[in-house]
Amino acid sequence: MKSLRQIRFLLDKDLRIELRKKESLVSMAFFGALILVMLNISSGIGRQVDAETGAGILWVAIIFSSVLGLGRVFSREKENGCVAALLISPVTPGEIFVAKTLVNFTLMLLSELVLVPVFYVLFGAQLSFSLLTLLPVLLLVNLGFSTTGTLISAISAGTRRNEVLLPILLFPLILPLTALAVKATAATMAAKPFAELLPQLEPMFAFCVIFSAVGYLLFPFTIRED
Amino acid sequence: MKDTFLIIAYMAIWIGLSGYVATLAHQQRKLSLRIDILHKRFKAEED
Amino acid sequence: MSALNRSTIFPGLSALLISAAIGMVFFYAPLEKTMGSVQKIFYFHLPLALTAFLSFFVAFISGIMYLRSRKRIWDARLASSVEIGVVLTTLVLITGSLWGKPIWNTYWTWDPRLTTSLILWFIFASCLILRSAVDDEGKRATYSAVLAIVGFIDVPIVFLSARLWRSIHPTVIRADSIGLEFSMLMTLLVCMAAMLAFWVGLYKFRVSLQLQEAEVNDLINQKR
Repeated sequence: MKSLRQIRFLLDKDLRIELRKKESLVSMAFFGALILVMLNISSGIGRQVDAETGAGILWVAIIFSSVLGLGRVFSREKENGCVAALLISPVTPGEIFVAKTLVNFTLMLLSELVLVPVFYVLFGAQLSFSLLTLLPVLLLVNLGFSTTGTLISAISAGTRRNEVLLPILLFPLILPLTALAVKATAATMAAKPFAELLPQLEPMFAFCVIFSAVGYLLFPFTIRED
Repeated sequence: MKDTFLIIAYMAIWIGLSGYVATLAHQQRKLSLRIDILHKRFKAEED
Repeated sequence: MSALNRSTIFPGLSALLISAAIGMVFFYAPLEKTMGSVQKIFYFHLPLALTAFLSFFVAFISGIMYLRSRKRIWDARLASSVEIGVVLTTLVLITGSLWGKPIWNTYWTWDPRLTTSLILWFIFASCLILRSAVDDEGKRATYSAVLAIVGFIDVPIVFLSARLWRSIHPTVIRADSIGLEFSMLMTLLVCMAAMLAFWVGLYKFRVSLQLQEAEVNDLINQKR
């Protein structure tokens, strides 16, 4: 009960900072929309993409824009020496991990609220879109991306080259998740029934569970400042 | 035709492995030099 | 017999075994019926892949041991095995595509095993990049230990999901269809022993180099 309250407190703090400064969310949505426009132009103006390509384009935009937000989550704490303050406060590193993961999850979800409609406007003319089957895919990727990403961003924030290293370290790890998500999304865009997504959703769920556990266990090592 | 691929593959293996060993040997040599220099400097400080 | 001390036994053994292995590959092992001479790549491709995987397993174990004990020796073992593993995986990928081109008529295909090796290569190569970006020794060791553990845990997930990415697999050569007859098996075993001896020698050399470097750095920092 106590740790739930502390997690909510940390989450509250980060979301309030974000709400006031709007530094991550605006750039995430803007960058994602920019990628979508660029990919729309480079796939040939006036040409329709099929479901598989469309799904790939959507996920490239989401993953690349989310890295921007992810990089800020920790470097903001490091810049002001807040990590040390967090560590001496009565919260456990595990609680910090959960809170940061939830912050990322929320940021990704909010930016997807912008990106998915933009994608629909640019590419959706021929794709039969159903938000209801897309939603579980989005949620699972957000969760897997946030848990893995929080762990990796704690590492990259401790190095000299945070912005460069974060995607280099993160993308290989989440490659299976992305590939499964693309396949599942392609099925939703081809108006397949929900049951056909299950073979992809199950390993995605397993990915989320495994990396939540691994992240929770290893995270304390990465933020400890010796 | 097939022999070409075989030859390229084996050349890649041995060039790769011996190249790596050579790099390590080079590093070791550089390190030995560094140790020698340090040794001399420390000795000079002691005297 | 004084030349046969502990530091020369593995380099000597691997030199002996590797020359025997090459001899067996080209003069003893028979020509495979359908694939012809390209199949001979296999005798070194498989041992390379096995030793590469062994390196990443050693890295995983060293990562866990480092986080538990925080001893320098485990960081040296981790750094060495990651580096050796990346070199070996590079060679596995090169020989694999050179084998695949004449047989499957393509250099690359998203077969689960190929995909897994490629992603492993990316993960552990990124670990090397990470090591070069951190100056503080303790931090560098902790970060790379975490990454090695996470990367190794990722392997089974990658392998399982790679089977789902492509619904139609290209026909992959399975172990039973290679039809290992006795002389082929013998050649393979000698190659495997050669690569293992080579790996152990390389690993020991690399670990000692890493430790020496760390101690020289210690000495310099002490004097300052």
